[in-house]
Amino acid sequence: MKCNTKNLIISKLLHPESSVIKKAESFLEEFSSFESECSLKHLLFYDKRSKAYYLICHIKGECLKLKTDLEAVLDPEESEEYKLNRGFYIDNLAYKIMKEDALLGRSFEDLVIEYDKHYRPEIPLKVFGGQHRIKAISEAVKKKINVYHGVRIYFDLSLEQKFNIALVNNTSIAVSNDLLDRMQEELLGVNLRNWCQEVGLLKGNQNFADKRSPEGIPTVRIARTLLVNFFMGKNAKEDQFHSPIVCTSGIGTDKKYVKLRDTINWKDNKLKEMGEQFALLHKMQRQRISERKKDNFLEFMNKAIHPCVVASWAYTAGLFQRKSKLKILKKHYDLSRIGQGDPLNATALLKARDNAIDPDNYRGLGARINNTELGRMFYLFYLHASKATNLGINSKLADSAIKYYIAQKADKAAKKAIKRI
Amino acid sequence: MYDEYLRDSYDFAMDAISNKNWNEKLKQRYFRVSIFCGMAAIEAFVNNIADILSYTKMMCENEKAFLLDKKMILENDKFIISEQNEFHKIEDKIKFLLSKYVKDFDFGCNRCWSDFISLKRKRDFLIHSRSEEDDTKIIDYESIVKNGITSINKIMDYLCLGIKNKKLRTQIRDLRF
Repeated sequence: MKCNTKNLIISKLLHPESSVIKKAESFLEEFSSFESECSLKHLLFYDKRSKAYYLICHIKGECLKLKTDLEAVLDPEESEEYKLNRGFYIDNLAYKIMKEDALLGRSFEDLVIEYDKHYRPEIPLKVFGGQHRIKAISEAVKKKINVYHGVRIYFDLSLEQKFNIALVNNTSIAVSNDLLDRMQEELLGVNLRNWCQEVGLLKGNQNFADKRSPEGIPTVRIARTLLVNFFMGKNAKEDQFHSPIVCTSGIGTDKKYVKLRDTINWKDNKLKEMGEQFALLHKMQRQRISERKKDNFLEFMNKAIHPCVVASWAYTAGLFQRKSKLKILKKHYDLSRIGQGDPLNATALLKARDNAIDPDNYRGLGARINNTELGRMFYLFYLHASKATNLGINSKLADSAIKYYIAQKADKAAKKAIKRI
Repeated sequence: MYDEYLRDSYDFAMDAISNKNWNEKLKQRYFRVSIFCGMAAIEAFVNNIADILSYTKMMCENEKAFLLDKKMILENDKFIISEQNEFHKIEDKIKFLLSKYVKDFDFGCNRCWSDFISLKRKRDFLIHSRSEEDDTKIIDYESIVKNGITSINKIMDYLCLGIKNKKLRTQIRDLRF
């Protein structure tokens, strides 16, 4: 059933052109693979979709560094200088991790390459898939890390075949950052999930959402942000400039959270109280908005679990944990107990803005994640709990929070300037 | 409100400038309204800034009282800001803010300061006028208004950058001649 050449095994069901066999033989003579070093022959495969022939083998990193062409083009006669693949994203965290892995001897698989000597014949391995991995491999080779990597070598590709193969190798179904966070959290342990279930942020046996949830199920990022900011607030001095943070999401667990996680006493009553109060705020916000006939938008309903709101609220709760501040803390927690309307007054927050600097498309307080928004939102909760006479958020308070934040920032800048003298 | 006043001022001036078939009286009317709105805009803006700065710790009480148009009174052995009003000139408040928050602002060389003063003088003249007729030529009105509105816009921009560390938003900055 098989047709044998010097180095190749070809199924009798396949009928490759002689040019394909010639090129495959030429490749196997020019390059030493792990399989050939083990005196094994290579199987020739056929991809029915692209009607292209290829073989799979393993090549040393050094060879890939020297012989790959990362600027592969679709049509060398028409556009030899115009690379088909996207540019490199070396500042990306995923690439940085790839590079670290390569340095630790990671063996990468399924690098998609065409053996083609039509252009730049000194580097005949034209890369159509895996350029970042090969870049990481090359970096590792510089540090004398030279291991085998799996490659899929195509031969004698037409223009359409090249395009099809490049396209399929540049198509990926994105995995949400929230799912990555949830997976990483599983790896770290069950404490965060258990705690969230205990305080009522999650129902019993419920897991974190793997993407933004219309039902208001918090993600891992929200739970982490809640904890990190609570402890940040707890360790802050009241007269300092306050800047809550939102935990990072996606590849690589937030460093502040990782550092904090080991020190958390998950049974601490104050921490539990904070979690329960936040769960109540979220519940009341959803309930009050859903009862409305007008302005019952999903964004309003889930306002409490917007990362900016979570961070600022938790930071404020942390800041007022001291015994002398318990009255203020109570007022902060009592926000969810206002008689009517939604506790966060999402409509007032939406309308609040600094007319001088906020652009027309500004979406109000607590709608974006950046330092300014986090600062403004924090001072809203801070002023509400410590200075406002009445319970509840209103436009006047939101306006004051914006002004107060600018003033605090100006003070911080002035202090910094004085220090430089 | 100051952003809306500034837009009003700009729009009234634009109407007066662009409607070539309007008679002199009508143009004068629009320019006058433009001047009043422009001055209202800068007054409201300065009041807004004063509100912000009243929250800072780096500014002393007499400076805050000055910006907030409040009187300082002696209570026991301490001077405090009272609830009594004590109004100060807008140009003095702007001069104080520019000196304090805008590095290297040159009142002698920066044209926007002299343009603002011209506009302010015109406003004062109109408000406290004793003459029966407005005999200001259209060409003079146009020049005072164009330069004056632009100067107000630039002063706001300087102060935003100096105090808020951000430029005035584009939609307002575009209201210049």
